[in-house]
Amino acid sequence: MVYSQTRLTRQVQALPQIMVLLVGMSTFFTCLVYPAGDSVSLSGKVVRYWAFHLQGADGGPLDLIPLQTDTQVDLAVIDYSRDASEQGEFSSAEIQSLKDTGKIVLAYMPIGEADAGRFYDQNPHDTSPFSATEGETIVGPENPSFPGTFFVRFWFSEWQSIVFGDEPLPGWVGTAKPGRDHYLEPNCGSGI
Amino acid sequence: MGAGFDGTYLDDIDGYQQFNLDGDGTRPSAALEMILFIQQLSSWVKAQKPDFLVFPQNAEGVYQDALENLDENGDLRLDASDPFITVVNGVVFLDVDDDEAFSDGDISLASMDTNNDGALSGAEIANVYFNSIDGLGAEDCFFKGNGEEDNPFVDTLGSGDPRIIDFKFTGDAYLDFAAHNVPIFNVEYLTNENVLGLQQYCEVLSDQFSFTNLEITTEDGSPGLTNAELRSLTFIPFRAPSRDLTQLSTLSCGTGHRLYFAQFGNGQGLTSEIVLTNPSATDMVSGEIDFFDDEGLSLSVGIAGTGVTTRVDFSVLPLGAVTISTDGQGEVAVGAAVVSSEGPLGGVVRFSISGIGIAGVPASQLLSGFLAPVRRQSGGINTGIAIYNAASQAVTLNLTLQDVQGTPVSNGETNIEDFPAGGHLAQFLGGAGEVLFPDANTEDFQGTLVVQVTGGSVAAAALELGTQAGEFTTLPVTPLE
Repeated sequence: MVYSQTRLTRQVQALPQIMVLLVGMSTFFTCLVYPAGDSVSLSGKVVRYWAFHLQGADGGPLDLIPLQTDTQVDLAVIDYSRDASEQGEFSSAEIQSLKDTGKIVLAYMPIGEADAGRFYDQNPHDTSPFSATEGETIVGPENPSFPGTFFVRFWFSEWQSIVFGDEPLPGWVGTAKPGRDHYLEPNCGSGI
Repeated sequence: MGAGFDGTYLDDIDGYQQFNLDGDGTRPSAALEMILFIQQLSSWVKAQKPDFLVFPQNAEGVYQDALENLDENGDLRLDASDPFITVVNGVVFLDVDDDEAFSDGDISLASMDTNNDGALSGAEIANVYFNSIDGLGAEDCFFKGNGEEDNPFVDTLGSGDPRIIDFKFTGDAYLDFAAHNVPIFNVEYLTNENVLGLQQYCEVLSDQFSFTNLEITTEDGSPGLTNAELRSLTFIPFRAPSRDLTQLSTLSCGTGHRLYFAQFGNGQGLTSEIVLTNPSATDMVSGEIDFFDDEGLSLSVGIAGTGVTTRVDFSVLPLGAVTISTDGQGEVAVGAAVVSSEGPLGGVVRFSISGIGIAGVPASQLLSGFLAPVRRQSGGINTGIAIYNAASQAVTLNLTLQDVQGTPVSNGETNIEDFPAGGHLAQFLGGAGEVLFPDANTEDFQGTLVVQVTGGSVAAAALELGTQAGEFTTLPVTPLE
């Protein structure tokens, strides 16, 4: 038996009034939300509950629909790409549709570690985030807890220019999008 | 090409620990350089979009390490007397090669020397950091351990557990964030089945929470976090069922405390009275009761002395009680009631049915499995079970019927899949209409009902009903061991 077969079924006419109390209550009861904790005002909005959502179910591509329909979350942290790849980056329209639900939306961005497969990875098919020789000195040891993620010597100017700034990306960094500058560019480029 | 995010959430800040003296030691200044990195990133992005938000995650002590890792003489400031620091014409530089002179590759720290005194104090370093960020993402604030999920609540850790010390130092840092108006966005990794953990998380977020583990709140020469200090912190909560962050989940805590009354009704002689008691000898407790119909929408109920409403506000005096009663008027309306309050309360709903009698049903606790005694006599006594999904996601229910020896009954098993978040089910054991076990022989039956819940927790109630006066009683719902 599945729930939908019993939902809202009413067969109570033949039963005494007392049984209405139980039999007539096959019920769908929407979620009640009374989050504990505090609230804070950010960007002119009250934030009482947030969400940290980086992947889809079973590690698949991140789907924004559940966040769009969620009514509890005031601030959402999501990966800026549905699958961490450059090709999977969310469009401004997709992010705007999430913001249109009243949420503050932040882009997840690791800056102390580098991930294989990100936009700066010359060869997404190997295990290193920097396959070019020039990138070898930036990369530290692999994080044993997260294969494919490497500690990065973040003080290197090459890494910092990948993350933000006015300087163009180092020529050896691989990116499929012409004219791309740095990591933060897709995150804050719109509207500034 | 830009996607128009409102801000950025910077992870792996604590990667500096891989290279400083806690790591391979190749970059003793790594913590200081992480702060410089974040300062420059924040300045750059806010120059273009002033309201752009910058949240680092974890590494609560990075500003402390930035000082301590280089402050060799312990004078709580970084100046020319410390290694890796040089001062040229009053400008502080990070002397990367530690040659005690300015050379190529050395990094200006002028932006951190806000009073231009040729040194960096601990306060200057901290202020630079806190002024660069708008919030802190903080994992595992209250649930400590090496597990991916469902680590123990810090208040339950035994004496001398190093995780208590870790919590106290982290809490001490949180106070610094609070002093600089940086809110803490806390994520705890608690699975749907961890009913106790979810309750503990709700409790620690409550303004009424106090640690029972005195080792946490005593100072004793080390940083501590008093109950008052905990309450002063701003925690914006999030509960994730998995550290993989593949699922959204909501947190249903109440405004501190909640009581669930899955059964509620009014009309045609049926009345419901909710009785609430306040166990506190000192504090009045206020809250509200919300009524919901079968669809989960607000239910208008006639309340004696108040009129028709969907919500009733109340206050209970210390050691006192209040009773909110329906008026019994109009058509029968059934639904549920949820009490949200600022402090703990006791509660019972008392049903009164004209010509039958009165029965009280205590507020339901949250359960991941339960057992209730059941019986049915054809044409007479029957047992009704009400289940309310208090979780924020769908759950699966497995209901099995046993005889008094605990032996499963033929055709006495029902699986309810995708029982939705907030869903409610109320059915009789057998008989006419929609029943739990239509194919089991319950004509003259006595035994037990066992309900196993997968994926969350539920509230439940059991009532035994008949058609004669007095045939109306509440049955115990017992958590499964």
